Amino acid sequence: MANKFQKTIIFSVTLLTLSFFIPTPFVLAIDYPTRPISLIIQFTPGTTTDIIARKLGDVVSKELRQPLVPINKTGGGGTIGVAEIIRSKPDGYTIGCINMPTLAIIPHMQTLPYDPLRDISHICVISPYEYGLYVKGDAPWNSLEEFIDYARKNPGKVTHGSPGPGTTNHLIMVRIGKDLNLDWRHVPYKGDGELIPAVLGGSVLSGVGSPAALMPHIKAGKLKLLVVTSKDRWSYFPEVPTLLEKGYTYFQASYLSLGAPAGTPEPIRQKLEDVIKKAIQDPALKKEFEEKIYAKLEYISGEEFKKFIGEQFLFYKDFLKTIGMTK
Amino acid sequence: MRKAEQIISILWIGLAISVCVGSLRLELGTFHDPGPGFLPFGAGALLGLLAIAHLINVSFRFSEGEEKGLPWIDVHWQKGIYVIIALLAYAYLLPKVGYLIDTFFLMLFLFGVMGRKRWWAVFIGTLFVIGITYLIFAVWLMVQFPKGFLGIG
Amino acid sequence: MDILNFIFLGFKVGLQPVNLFYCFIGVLLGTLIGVLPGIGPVATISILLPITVKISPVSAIIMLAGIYYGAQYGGSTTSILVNIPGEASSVVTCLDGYQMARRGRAGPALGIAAIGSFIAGTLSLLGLTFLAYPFTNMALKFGPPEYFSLMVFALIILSYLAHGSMIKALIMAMFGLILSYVGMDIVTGRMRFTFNILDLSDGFGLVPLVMGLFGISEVLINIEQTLSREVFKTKIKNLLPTLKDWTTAKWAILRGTIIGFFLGILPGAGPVISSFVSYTVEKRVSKTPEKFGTGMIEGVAGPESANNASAQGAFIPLFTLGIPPNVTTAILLGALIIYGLQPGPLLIQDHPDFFWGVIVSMYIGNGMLLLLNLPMIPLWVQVLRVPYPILFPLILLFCLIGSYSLSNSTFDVFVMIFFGIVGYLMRKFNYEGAPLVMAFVLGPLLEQNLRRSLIISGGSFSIFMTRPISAITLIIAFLLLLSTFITNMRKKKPSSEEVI
Repeated sequence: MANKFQKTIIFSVTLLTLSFFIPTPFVLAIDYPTRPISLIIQFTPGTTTDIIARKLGDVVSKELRQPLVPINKTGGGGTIGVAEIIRSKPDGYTIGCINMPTLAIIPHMQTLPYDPLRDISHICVISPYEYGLYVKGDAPWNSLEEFIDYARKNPGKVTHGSPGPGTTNHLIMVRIGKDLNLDWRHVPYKGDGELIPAVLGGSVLSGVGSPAALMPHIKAGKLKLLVVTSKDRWSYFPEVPTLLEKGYTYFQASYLSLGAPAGTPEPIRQKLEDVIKKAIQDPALKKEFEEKIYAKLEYISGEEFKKFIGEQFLFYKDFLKTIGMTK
Repeated sequence: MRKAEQIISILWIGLAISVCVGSLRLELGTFHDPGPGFLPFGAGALLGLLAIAHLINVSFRFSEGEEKGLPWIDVHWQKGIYVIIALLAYAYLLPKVGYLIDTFFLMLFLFGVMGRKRWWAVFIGTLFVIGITYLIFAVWLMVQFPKGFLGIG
Repeated sequence: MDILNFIFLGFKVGLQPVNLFYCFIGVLLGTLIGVLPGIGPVATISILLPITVKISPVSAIIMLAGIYYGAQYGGSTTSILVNIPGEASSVVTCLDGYQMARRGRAGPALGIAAIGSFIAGTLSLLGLTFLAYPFTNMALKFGPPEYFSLMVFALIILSYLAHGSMIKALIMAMFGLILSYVGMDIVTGRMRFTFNILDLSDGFGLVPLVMGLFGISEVLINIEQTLSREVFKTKIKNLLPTLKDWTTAKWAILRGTIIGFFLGILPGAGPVISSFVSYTVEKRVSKTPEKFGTGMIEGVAGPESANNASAQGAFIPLFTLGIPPNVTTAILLGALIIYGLQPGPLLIQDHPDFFWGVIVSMYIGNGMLLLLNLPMIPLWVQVLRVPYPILFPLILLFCLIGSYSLSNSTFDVFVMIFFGIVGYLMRKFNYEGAPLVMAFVLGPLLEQNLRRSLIISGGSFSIFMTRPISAITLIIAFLLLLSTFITNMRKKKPSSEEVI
């Protein structure tokens, strides 16, 4: 018969052995992170996305007490960076930036090595990509209505430029054109760096761009904003109305979000979401982003975003089919 | 050389045909509204025509001072193949084993096998090279080398 | 005069010790990474960005700009010494620069590259100082039809690049065009010839391609020879350009500067195209065009001046309009935003001390670069003395690192190796790389602007002739083509060379 001492030993050893079977996520979330986290950025340094990611990364690093190491993996409109996130180990030590088109639009245009609906564990949205329709500063139109009117009277003559085919900038104009039965033509460019000079020089009559890209030109009067295609008006030009206000039932919805590879333990994902949510809801940080880099910080939960992506995916599947841009 | 030139011309023609076929699948569009396949088809077609012209040129003209055979006599062409295989292996293994390990073996191979130096010199040289390049690139220039499964690199 | 006041203001800012310091660091770093193949100003500037927030915006931009134009100086070094283009814009320098090195004239090649770069940099800075606004306005008038005509013009000039057989050069050009179409189609967004490889959605990278085509292939060719012999047997003659070199080269430098300056302002054109155009112009105006490709000093002086001039020229649209004409200036634009300086048409007006301070520091920087590069020539030339069995693994390693570091991508390394094999085969069968590279660069520009023009005009080709700049360019191109035919007709004698 085992004495008390022996029983205690057996009991302790059993307990100890059993403890190895405790699901590790609980242990991990308390310790996480114990080493630097890679932050994959899908655009080149100097772009708004990159600046947002790095600045946010700094703030979050302080909170987590481990550095967020930015790694730029560019190309394919963001798909290369996203593919990199998905291939990484789902241990919570690799996360990255995702721009919505890589999940909702591009998969319909080309075969990608990932499943956009299943391979990402969304952390949360950090910023909406906001855009507006602009024309040359001395153009004769001062509102969206005037521009559309002109397009109606001059079919085939009005051109709208975009930073690339399949971007939401391109597609929003196609959508408006289809809804109103307008014959306006899309002229594709590679990025704002080519598009803006084209509008300034008059080769293309309009473009759709972000506040960061347009700010200096609008302030100098070389370009003017006809309508803002994001959900809310811009704080920088509060007098310019939004599409929604004009009666359209949609807006150019695109977001910058953070994600981790699917399979990342939920407690870790939740911790990241909480920390980031706190950071982007900080009014001082929001103000800094808005004033210095013309970016808006907005939180949307990972759960909600996942649903949103699902909806957008289906929408674009049909939409792209009707305009013949599917693979 | 003549035979080699002929074979190569035929290879070009083959490439030209595949490009043209691929372009047709991409939609040529019209002259006024060119599609994605338009210019590639044109380039492919021109390539084909040029290759045919070259083939004819080579086959029916006699040029003086013609070399017989392929340009691989009198040279150690195997060395080139070894190096290529080594480089391909390096690129493939780089994300798997990380910069330090991968480069170590590559340098051993290149210095030792190809250069045929004494093994101790090769070993020390390799370590030296790895050290310096790591210092310049990874530390000073902050290039993000892959770390590999051991987590170093 | 107003401008003089501004220049004095610039000197006050630019000559501050702290700015001189950062200028020096910038150009030094720039030279270093320009020499290292693959790693370019883009990577370095992006890495340094976060650190630069801590110093004043003027100092930061002075340093970053120094890295950018400094890299243009360094890029020619490896091209000349080991046939590896340090930057895409140094590809053309390989053609004659490397041949000069093989003949023991590496010193003069390096020297004339440095001097040409200095003169070009300084002259185009003068252009930047006095002609910024008129040029920007002119540049804005370049729309898709103008670009298309310019590319047609460049393609026609391409025929002059051929050193040997014309048919083979044209085959290479077609091959280059085909390669350039791999990737996403700009109008429809569809993938062409990518075989579902995600890394190919933006096409083949230019830098891995040229590194493989010229650098790796050179190593492969050299390895085949018995390694115990030194590859460069010739004695290294002089270390600096001779007076004769100078008289031959000075006009090339001037022409290169003008070409580079103009093409640098146009968004998307850049140092690569200007170096090619300069090379072909030099070949065309030379009295001995057939010697190009064997070590003609104009073939180094012209292109090197052109790429420096276009690097400086790229700052014009950046500062006057806030529009960056290439990737590197785009990052600088981002930097300006981070520092709180709003780039755009009002930048110069609102911050004259910044603008003029940077301009003056660029003058100083160019001078520093000359002083840095010239004395280093004897050092660089020693590299050639390293026995090849030790040298070639190092060359390969630097290429591997370089190609990887472009976008942290092993795919680029594979692309480089692939084109190394292609380049090796090409050499074996006497095909030239230059027409391929030129066509590869021109192909997308040609196609995109053709299709854009047709969308804008609604399908009508008349747009190319109704717009004055485009029409003039096309007419000149056509005349050039005619004159080539006429000269060829005249030259038609029975010869053993394969010429159309």
